[in-house]
Amino acid sequence: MVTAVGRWARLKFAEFSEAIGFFLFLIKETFFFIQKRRIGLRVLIMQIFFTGVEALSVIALISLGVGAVLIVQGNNILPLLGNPDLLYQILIVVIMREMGPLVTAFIITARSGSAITTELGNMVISHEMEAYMSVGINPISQLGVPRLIGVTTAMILLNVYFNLFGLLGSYMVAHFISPFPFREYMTGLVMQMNILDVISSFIKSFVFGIIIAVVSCYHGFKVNLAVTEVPVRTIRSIGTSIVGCIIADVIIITALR
Amino acid sequence: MTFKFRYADRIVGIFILVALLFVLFMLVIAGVNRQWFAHKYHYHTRFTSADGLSVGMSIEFRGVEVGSIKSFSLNENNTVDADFVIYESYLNKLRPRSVIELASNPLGLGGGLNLYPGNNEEPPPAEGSFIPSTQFPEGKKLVEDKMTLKEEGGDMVSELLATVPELLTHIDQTVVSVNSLVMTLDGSLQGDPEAGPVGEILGDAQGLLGEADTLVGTINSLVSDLEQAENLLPELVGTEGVAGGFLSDNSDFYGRITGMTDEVLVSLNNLASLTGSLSSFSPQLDLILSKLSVTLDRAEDVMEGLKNNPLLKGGIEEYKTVPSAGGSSLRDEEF
Repeated sequence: MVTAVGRWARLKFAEFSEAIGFFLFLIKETFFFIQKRRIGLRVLIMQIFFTGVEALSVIALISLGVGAVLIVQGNNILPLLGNPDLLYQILIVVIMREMGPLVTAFIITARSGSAITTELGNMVISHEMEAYMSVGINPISQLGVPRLIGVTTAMILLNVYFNLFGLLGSYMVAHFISPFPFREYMTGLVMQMNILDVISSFIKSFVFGIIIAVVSCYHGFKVNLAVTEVPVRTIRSIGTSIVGCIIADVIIITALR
Repeated sequence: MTFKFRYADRIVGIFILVALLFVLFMLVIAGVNRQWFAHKYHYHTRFTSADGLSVGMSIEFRGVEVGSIKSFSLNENNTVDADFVIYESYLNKLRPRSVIELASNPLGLGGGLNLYPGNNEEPPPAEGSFIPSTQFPEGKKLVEDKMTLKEEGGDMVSELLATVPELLTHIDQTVVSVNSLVMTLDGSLQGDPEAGPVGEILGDAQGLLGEADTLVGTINSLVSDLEQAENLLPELVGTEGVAGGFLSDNSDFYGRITGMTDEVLVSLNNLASLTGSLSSFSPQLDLILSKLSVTLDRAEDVMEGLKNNPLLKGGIEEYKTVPSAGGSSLRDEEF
């Protein structure tokens, strides 16, 4: 019993140390990315394309729905409570600070995180990693760094689009249901917007992007030999990314309060 | 799919540019509305406490943001020095003898800083000048002397709070009145003849007390008379008295009373035996009465039948009075 617990603790510690080492190596290699951009830039562009551009429709749909519901319901309920200006505060807090980064992170995890893990896992099984290493290229630098930068950049941009559709697009949807002046809406929104809201939103999307990319790449590279390892690692990658994002969210909220 | 891959660079470029343009647009809108790029003029003021004060708190005039708090700190006199800025577009509102009011809401529903410009047309004070707050006498005096454009009215809570000083004044006057009343009463109780109606009442009360003394004396004399009346009782009950006479007549009086009670007892026994025999007859009487009732019912039926018989209709003549055979006496005739 004691031996089993000790073995479990030793293995967990070793795995955690390996993950930290992988993360630090990836961060270090990211700083040298500019020097190696001849090869990695194309991978980066494609990663932003797959992660950002192709997820735009889903993000737009969700943020439009959430924003429109908030505006319509807020316009109906908040004047009854004697504080109609609270609508702008709610919109900013829900869309910009809280839901925007988190919903975007979940979508990216489900779409791109799982795809990265599967792709890298299959590359390991088909011995492509050995091929890279045989010609003197570090596969983590070559494959991991563009994905880290690409996912993080796409995460930040998608968060901006979530705000764009959630704050402006939803106004247009809500305008058909219960019309009210755009100028008044924009003035109210901007006057309630705090610089801390903008910073918080950017910090969250940046941190979530790093977490998703690192976790996805780590689990992709952790595949050894069997094809059956790929779905297992993909599932673990999605779960770990979501839990990591939620923990990071709590830490950031507490730090910026 | 081929199109997407071929133009992936451009699509990603547009994707990034649109996002950056949106961020830029929002920043510009926020900057214009929140006066981020406007020149700001620095001034300072002083408060008794920093309760309700925060950095970045807006300063408003008639509901419009004209400036904001930049910093505040506790000074050597244990009051709070605050630095604030007034936006360039509203600098003309800040005139000499302006005041700052830190409005705190007792219900916890916000509050804020209000600027009340001086009631004059002079140019704004120099940057860095001291603008008094209404928490200090200097600012209060400017407001009381109507030197500022402090609007009347507002929300209900403010109006209620505005009535508090007047209410306190009334309470103060009431306390003074009560104090003078207590002093008057005190003087009256000490026998002051110039104590007014209360003194007169107390004088009357004194006269009443004298009369009450007289009354008590009368009652005392009555009680002593009653004590003398106690001597009548031995005369009544003693051996020479009435009761003694009754008891010393060899039970003659007692014998008479006993005889009377014996006769009463015999009468009561007779009455009891009579009622007992009546009660023994009562079942027979009941039976007779019930039979009589049945008989009467049947007689009624017979009479009904006779009445309805057509042969007997009109068969019974009416009774007529028959004159006596002896004729009338002279005594019966009228004269």
